[in-house]
Amino acid sequence: MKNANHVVRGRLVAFAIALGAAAALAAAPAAAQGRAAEGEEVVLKRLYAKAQSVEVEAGVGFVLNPTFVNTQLATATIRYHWSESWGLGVRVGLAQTSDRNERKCVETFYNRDPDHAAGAVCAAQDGGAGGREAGVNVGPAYMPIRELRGLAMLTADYSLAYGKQILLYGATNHFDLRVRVGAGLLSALDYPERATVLGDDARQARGAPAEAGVSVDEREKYGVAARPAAVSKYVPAAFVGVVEEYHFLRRFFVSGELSGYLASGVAGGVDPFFVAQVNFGLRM
Amino acid sequence: MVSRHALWARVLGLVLGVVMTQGALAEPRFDEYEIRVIKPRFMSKRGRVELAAGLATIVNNTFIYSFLATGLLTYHLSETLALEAQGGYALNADRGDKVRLNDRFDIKTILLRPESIANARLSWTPSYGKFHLTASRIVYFDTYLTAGGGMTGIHYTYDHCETERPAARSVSYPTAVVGLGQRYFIDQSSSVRIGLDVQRVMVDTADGQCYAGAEHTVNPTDNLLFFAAWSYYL
Repeated sequence: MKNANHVVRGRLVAFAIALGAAAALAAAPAAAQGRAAEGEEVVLKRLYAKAQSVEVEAGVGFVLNPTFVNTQLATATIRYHWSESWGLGVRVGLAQTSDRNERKCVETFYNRDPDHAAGAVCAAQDGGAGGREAGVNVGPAYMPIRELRGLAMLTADYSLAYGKQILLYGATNHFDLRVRVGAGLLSALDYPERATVLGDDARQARGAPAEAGVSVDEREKYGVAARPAAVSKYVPAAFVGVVEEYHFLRRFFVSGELSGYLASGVAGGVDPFFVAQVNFGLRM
Repeated sequence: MVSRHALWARVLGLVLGVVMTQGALAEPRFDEYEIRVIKPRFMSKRGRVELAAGLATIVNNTFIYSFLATGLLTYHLSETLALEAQGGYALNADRGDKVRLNDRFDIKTILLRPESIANARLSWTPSYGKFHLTASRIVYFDTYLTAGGGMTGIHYTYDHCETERPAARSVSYPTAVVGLGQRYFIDQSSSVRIGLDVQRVMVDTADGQCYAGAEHTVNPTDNLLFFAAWSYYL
């Protein structure tokens, strides 16, 4: 079984690499196209030049692939472009999190609950057959979970392309396509894993109700009330993203940003996560 | 005679134009570079069939990674409207949180493992343009919006069932699709496509239960599908 999983994972990794390669093709499809008949000066002569300018932007976004908590981000960035291609910036951000049903579910999970008696949150999760077994109790699972609180990053922008497009036969719009990288610190609350009952390290949370878990009535020993104490941390992180920035009214821009982050993991290793955000800014 | 569709498009374009080109109009040195520099189009799609093959991933699954091989068949009714059909087959792998839940806490989650997608959609291309890569290349592209519907196949393994495990099976659910994407034209007969779809799958929660007779409840589940594909135009 492990070998089978290994093979499947290997294929998926190859699949992911192929997907990335296909996406990367989108960034460099011009090789066969060559110089356009109309001449490149039509976009070379930039209306929205960046060199020697400062960009200030505010953004809002969210983590795309959460497991146990939803995370919304608000960021502020100031960036200096010393050329049309390169810019350096500083980004700070605040994050707000909320529990997903998956977290509520595992923290109120059951040690046998065919009757769905222990609570509504996990009623669809236990797959019980209905009324065949007695002695239901709660076996909360406290997974290692990170709640993001904020970030501070140094960022670098590389402008891959500058272009213009026509909208609905009438409006023209200028835009940049950029690669953005950053590195810095995340501020986070880390909830450690706990597999035992609160206040009784000798009793496992998960197992047969006679030997593990807590009574449904002991509400202070499962759910939010019994979570392990969170530890406030600063953890190193880095990201790389693609940005499409649309310019308007001479000094303003709005951009869409899709980034992949890597941070040291709450339970060791690294945690990858994706962030999508929209930015609104001013160029000075 | 201008059709109502074209008339509305031009009115909307005019409004957008006022906002988005104000800077351009105010800059004398660009008087000679206006819309005409984008026309004529690099490539004409009207009446052509587009075949695309690519790879996709669902980026918002909670406990699994899903990757799909996808294909699209598109007929371009005009430069802006197209009918297309999409199909795909998925491979899935468990994420670390699911593995940890199982290994450390003996909790097995019900997973909606995507197995296949099939849908038909109408595509509208309101925008096209070009950009200049730093390698001194001009790349033409267009941007499209799409909406439609179809079916999504979900594979249930019932590995969360402890006492009576039903046989694994696949169930198809109605799916609504909206999305947007871009084509980057390589030459007159090929392009690279990227896109992002929101595929709302109307899942019946009873199908994932371990026992018969569970209450039927429709639970809309959104799959955020990112794909990249290579297109060939006949």
